[in-house]
Amino acid sequence: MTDPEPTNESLDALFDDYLNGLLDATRTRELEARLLADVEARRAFVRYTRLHTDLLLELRARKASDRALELIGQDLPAAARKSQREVRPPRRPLVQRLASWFAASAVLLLVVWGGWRIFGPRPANDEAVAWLVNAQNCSWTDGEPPGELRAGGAVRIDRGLADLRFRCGTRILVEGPAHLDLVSANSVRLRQGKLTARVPTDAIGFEVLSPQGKVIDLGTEFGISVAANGVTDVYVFEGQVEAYPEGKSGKLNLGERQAARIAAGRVTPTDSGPGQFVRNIVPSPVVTARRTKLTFDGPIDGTLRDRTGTGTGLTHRLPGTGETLAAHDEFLRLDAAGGRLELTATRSDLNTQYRLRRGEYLGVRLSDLGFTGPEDFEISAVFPEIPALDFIGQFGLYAGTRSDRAIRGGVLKLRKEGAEVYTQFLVNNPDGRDADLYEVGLLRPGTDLRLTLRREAGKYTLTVEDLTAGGASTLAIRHPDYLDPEPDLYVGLFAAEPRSDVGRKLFVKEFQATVWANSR
Amino acid sequence: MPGGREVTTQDVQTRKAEFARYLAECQARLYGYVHSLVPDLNHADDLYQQTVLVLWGKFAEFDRERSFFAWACGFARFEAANFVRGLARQRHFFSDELSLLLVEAHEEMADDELADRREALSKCVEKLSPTDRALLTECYLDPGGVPAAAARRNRSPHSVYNSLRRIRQTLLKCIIRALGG
Repeated sequence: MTDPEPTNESLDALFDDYLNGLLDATRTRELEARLLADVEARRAFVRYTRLHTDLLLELRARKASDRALELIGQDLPAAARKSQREVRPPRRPLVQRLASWFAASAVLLLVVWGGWRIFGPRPANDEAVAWLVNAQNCSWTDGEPPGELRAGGAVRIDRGLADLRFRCGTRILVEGPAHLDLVSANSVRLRQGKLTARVPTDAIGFEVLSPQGKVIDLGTEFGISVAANGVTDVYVFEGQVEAYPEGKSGKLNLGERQAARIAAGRVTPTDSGPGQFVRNIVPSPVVTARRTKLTFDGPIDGTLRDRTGTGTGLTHRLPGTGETLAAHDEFLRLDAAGGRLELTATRSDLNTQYRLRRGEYLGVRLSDLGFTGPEDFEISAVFPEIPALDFIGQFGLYAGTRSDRAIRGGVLKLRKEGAEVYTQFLVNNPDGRDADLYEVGLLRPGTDLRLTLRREAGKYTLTVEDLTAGGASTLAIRHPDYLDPEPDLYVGLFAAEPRSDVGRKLFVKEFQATVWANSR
Repeated sequence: MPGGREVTTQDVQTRKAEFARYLAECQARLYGYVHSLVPDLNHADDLYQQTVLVLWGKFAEFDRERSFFAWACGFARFEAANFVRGLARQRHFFSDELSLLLVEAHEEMADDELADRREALSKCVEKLSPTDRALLTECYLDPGGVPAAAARRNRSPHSVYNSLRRIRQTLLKCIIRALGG
């Protein structure tokens, strides 16, 4: 075999992100250039994508095997099933045999299925009339999604979209909540909910029944919705349909962009538009990480400057803080050789907005990373060998729009039973005063810490990792809903000594901010 | 309804049988090629089917002296480019030049190697931890894919992508070991 060992890290990463759909235009071009330039890279790429394909087929086969085995299990008498459970070894080879049989046949099955759809026989009564071919955010009323759908079966979804393909070529996209019965190969009954149907010319005559009437297709795409009381609305995107009220008479022909309501034994034209119908499943957006990482190992021009005028890499202060600090900030020193930023805690406090003009709250602005408001984000920093600050001295991370609208967390110096210890804390600051303070755990000076302030699925947490002892804890408090509507946030790190002017130093390594941006 | 369209002439039946034979010979490879151009799992099936239908439509023009796989890839490439264009803001697509070179790279893999890899993979998947296997299965088979698997685990999609990558690398190494390479 001519496998190059998977050693070239960045090429592997490109392959992987390609498969995950995470490559942007620049990285796609980079991947393309490297593949064009190198036959070995192409070989490796083909083998990696082959792994991706084979893995899909293998996992499908396994799932099919598991289901089949469950069915076999159900046919066995209870006693036999029990003994089968007790004697596990015989079961595995069977699984493996079946799995490898399925695996070997999976591609074949796939093609046979495709081919059979092209060339296959017409349906008898017990054969599938439709298949579920795609679904999005679907919650199935009966728990499990259906696979093959037979006449007499039903599709019931509480929410989401289900894409059905009929043997005759018709495609139906059902939007939940909906209840759809499959009457025959060319007829469905929509009891409630919405669907759009695309009927190819050779399936003309496809009908959708509703509690108040029916719609027969004449080669078209149309949408139909049925309310809880059975009132039915139809809209034709393209082509023509016949809309029938319950009973026989009163048919109405509808053409392109025409709509009608079927209710109380009549079909009446309406002006409603296509807006309520979903016509396609659009793939879920791809979430990409946009990150800035500072390692403090060299000057970065155009950023906040330390006492010697060296750019630290941090770009923005939390509005409402640090206004009277010098442009060459005497409380900052970039230690490029040590790869760390030295930060001196000043006498200030966000709580009560005390002396914030000299407050050290500095970091980055999230909109620079593509943040527009709804995205999740994360900031983290390592604080090695934490110093002994004075009473209620504190440092950590913040996020907010200004000094009196923020959330912050980190560690807070307390004296407990005579010992010098820190407690971990997370606190809201909705109006200049601290609220919802939550404290937990004890740490000693000298410990190495990594703090991570995260908004995940919209919820804020602070994780404190004790890198010296190896433990970690995550804190959450009442949700700072005052930050939810904000289209931009400032995030960063801080150090403050509310009761002291001693000016102790602490160090920061590896500051990182990440925004999880949707690519659409 | 389609009942009336049943085509039964002897000619067509023979041609279908021949087409099915050609397809059977290269289907695994062709599916792999399609999948390497459009890695999204949900799209690859659609595109493959679409390609097969197009191939059947054009089969009369197929020159029996040529490689069926190379001929089929020509259409697959074209279909894939159109398919990607039709997707809302989808990923970027490889140039023609690269797509052609990739046909070569796919073609170069011997049938035996393909089969050996499939078999080795099956064993390697078995060796994964149950947790990794469950994650892999969810990411590959569940309609919600990675974001849904991440949400269920209270993890970020990014960290699940990292896990996926680690698992794929493990499998790749395991396959290489199994093939003695």
